[in-house]
Amino acid sequence: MAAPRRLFYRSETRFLLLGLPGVMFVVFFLLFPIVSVIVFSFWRTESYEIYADWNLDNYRTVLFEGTYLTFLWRSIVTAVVVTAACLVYAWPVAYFIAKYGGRYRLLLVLALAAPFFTGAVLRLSALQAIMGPIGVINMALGMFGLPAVEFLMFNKFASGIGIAYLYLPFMVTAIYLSLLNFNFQLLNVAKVNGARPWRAFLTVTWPLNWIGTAIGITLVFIPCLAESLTPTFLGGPSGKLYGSVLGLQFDQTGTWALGSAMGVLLFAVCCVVIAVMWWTIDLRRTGFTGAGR
Amino acid sequence: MTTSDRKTLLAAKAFNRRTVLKSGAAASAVGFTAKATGPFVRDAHAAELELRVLMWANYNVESTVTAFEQQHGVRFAPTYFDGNSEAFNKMKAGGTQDFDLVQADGHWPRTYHKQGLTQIVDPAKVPNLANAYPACVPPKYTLDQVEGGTDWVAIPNCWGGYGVTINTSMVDAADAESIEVLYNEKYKGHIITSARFEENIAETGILVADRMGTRDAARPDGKPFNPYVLTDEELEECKTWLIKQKGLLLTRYVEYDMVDRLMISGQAWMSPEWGITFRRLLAMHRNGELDWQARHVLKPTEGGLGWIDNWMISSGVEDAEKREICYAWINNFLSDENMLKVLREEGTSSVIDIRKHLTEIEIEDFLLNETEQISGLYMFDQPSSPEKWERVWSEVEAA
Amino acid sequence: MTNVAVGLQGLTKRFGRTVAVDRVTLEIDQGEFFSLLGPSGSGKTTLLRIIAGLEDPDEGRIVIDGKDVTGLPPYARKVGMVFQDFLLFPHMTVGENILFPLRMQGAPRAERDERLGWIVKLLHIDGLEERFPHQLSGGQQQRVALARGLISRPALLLLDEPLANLDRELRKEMEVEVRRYQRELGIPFVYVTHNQEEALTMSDRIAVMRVGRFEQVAPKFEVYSDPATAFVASFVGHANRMRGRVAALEGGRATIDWDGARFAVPAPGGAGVGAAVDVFVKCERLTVLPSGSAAPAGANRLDGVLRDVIFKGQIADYIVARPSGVEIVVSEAASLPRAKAGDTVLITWAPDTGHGFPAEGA
Ligand SMILES: Nc1ncnc2c1ncn2[C@@H]1O[C@H](COP(=O)(O)OP(=O)(O)OP(=O)(O)O)[C@@H](O)[C@H]1O
Ligand SMILES: [Mg+2]
Repeated sequence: MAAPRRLFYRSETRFLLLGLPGVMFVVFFLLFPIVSVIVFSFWRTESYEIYADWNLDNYRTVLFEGTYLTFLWRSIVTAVVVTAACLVYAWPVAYFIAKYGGRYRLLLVLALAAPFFTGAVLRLSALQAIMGPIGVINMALGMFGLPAVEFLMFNKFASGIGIAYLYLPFMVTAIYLSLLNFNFQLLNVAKVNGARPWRAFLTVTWPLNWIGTAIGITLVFIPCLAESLTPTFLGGPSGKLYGSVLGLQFDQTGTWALGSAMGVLLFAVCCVVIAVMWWTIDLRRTGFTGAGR
Repeated sequence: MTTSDRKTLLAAKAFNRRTVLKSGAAASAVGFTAKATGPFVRDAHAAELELRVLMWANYNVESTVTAFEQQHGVRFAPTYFDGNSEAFNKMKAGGTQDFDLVQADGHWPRTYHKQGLTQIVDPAKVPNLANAYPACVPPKYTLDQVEGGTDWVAIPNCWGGYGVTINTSMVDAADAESIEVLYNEKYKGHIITSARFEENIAETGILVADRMGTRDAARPDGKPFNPYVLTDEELEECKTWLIKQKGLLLTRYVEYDMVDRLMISGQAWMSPEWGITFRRLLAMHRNGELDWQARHVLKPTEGGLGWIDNWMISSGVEDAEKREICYAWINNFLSDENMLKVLREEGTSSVIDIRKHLTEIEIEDFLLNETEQISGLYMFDQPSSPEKWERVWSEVEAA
Repeated sequence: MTNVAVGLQGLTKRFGRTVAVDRVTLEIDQGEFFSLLGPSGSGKTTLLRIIAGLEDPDEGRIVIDGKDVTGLPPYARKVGMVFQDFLLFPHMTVGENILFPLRMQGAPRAERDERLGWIVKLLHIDGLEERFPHQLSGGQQQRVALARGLISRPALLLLDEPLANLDRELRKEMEVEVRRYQRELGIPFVYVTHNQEEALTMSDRIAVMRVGRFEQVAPKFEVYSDPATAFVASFVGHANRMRGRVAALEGGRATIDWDGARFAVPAPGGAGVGAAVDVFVKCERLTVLPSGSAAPAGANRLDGVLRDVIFKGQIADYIVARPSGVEIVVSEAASLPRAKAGDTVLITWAPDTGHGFPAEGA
């Protein structure tokens, strides 16, 4: 029988063999965890043991006992505000680097990403050292005999700043990379053709960099939604976000089933966010030339 | 994943450079020996006894281990865990065949034994236990024995509390005696507590049960009061107190540096903690770096939380020789010499009275003249219903 | 209103040490097709950008339609511009691209539609309005760019090498068309190129630029046939350069010693007897005759050996080597092969068609 021997040479087989590592990666690191979380969300825990009796109680708790929706709502509001702040802050920064950074461009972008080279906890400690009650800002105020600024410590504002600081580099990098491929000459064209600077930005720069911006928005918004560490460190007693509480289910209370349901809900919200972002992208309207009519 | 995740908190502190370097060196040393000796020594190795231990990382005192290995011709093979439930799950998942010794605190030894994971131990084979503080052993402290019996299930080794550290220059001495100081309007904005849900609810539970008069009344389970076993009414009341407390809190801490920073700067005036910050504050005061004296109220009038750590022998140990090695290890661990190291290097108080080796300052720092209070402390446990407790905590956080 | 559409007065622009534009003064008339011709880096683009307002001059003034616009931003100048690489907005359709200037001006819908219909017809791009730029050919893209520059009927249209990216055939075709649009619309064009044929084909006047300065500004015929400087003479058209010495000056003529021979040119200004001069004679002004033929009276004569004939279609280049080895190129109608390689030949030309200038760097 010749067929089996030749199997390897058949293109489908080779395709499968070459594709296998990728497929296994997806299965083990993406599909498998997601599926198990979905399964767990229909189970039940009792005293740190998980029981496979299928039920909808976890979803009932998460969706109809206001408590968890409160956290979700807090997280959404935080994510919207933080993302907007990052957007407003990142655009000029990325623009400046892309346009005037010259040969220091790479260095500037790396400098922005520098906080990523340290651990999350270290970064948060650094933030506390700047904003906290005995942080640089308040010490400086104290030196001039001014009262400490309360809004910088252990509240939602502080944790908002912390989260923005954490994810700002994503936004800057995404926009920066987009601007690298942007032909700034087009702005001159717009200006010569009668566009004021703002008009030129809105009609040319913004739409042509929308994909990059949308990626930046998604890259900031989604982790913001899931953020748990920063509010725990900086957010004070009333600043807990959905992610923190989700983490609590797994780290402390052992209520994995409820936590899984919370995770599934978060996943669903993230999918909606991504879908909305995707919906805003009309490839032809972003100067993406690979798309047909 | 449950009660004594205090160790997770401790770990943040205990895993300083020294310990990391130490374990790193140990690991590479083991790797090196394995490589250098190669296949020839394999048989010798197999013949050599291996003591497989499931333990908290911070009790691995290198010099003690080395000496023990040489003296008994065994190889010490530790595996570390970070929380009681983590170890418990490991043991349940066939760990009795993988481990000879295991550690746990509070109520856990009884649970281990009930589940058939550990065997009855004979305290007579641990002569060093004779020097233990009376408050840490039966009849004063009985969680080391089977419920309602006299058979021992575990041998205690170290203890600690979860009292309230107080800035005496800011907090009235009279207020400090009660847990209620943590809920006192007077100190609004200057109170901090841990971010962990069990300790918060359990501690509030003690206060609530005291105020409701249910603490000393007959409990539904017929057992003495345990702040980890609260009735629904008590939990509801806890929630009310905790929500009220939120408005008074500066923050909840997630790492020890935070407690240190906030207490030292004078932003926070009080915090329940394991005594670590307390010792630092005392030291600073002695060195003149702090103009106020810290105080640690180990056992407030309503009662306090504490823990006693234990060694247990796995039910998988059936071989007599192996059992003797286990006892030898436990006894060796309880030696004055090792307990001194544990106190000085790891900052943990032993259940063995080693005061004669210590300075006055150390005795004061580690509250070693107050050990009588230990037996009055409510021991760490796992919440009777993590599900209910979780709900309470989430509602508090969402409020 | 005068007939002057654009006035430039002493414009200067420096980039660090480079003087990109050096005291340029110029007036362009209404309806004029004006070309800026110069080698790469001579400052053509910079000058256009200054006129458009994309670059601020260090010195000088710009007046458009009698109004000083020197300090005004680009959008207030009523100037259109067409760029070398088209620079269409990739995210807009052809129609939207073309209508962009009107949209920015806030022109009413009806006017927009009407103008769009008019311009796409004019430029033969009707039917493409819904397409995106990447769906167009190079020539179509260039037409769209032109349409965008013209639709708002600017006071002046600036074109920066608009045809450089097109292939030869298309370029020839577009040269004629661009000229036609310009005529039809009567808008003054400032057309930048470093292709002299393009400039000569299309322009009314040409300015030859070199390192930021104008060497000559004149009607195209004059630039071609009467170069003002050695640079212009060498840059415009194809010329033979002969460096010799003035042997004698007489009656507005100079006799030049060159390569062991003598010939006459109109006396170069500022060069006395004995001075080194560069003499330029356009290739097509020379005639090749068989050796010993009779040359027209008063014509210059040079001997040589025909080394090669390069047939180019209508014309052919005759490469003639002098005894010293120096080569002279003669362009003549190819229909009469009067000689073949290896023949000794005679080159003749009328003295007045040569141009002599004091030698630079001699
Ligand atoms: N932004 C700038 N920064 C520094 N130097 C510049 C800048 N723009 C132009 N230059 C310099 O000014 C001089 C004129 O440049 P310009 O682009 O105007 O030349 P050009 O005649 O258009 O050349 P080409 O035919 O190659 O397009 C050049 O030396 C150029 O290097
Ligand atoms: Mg140019």
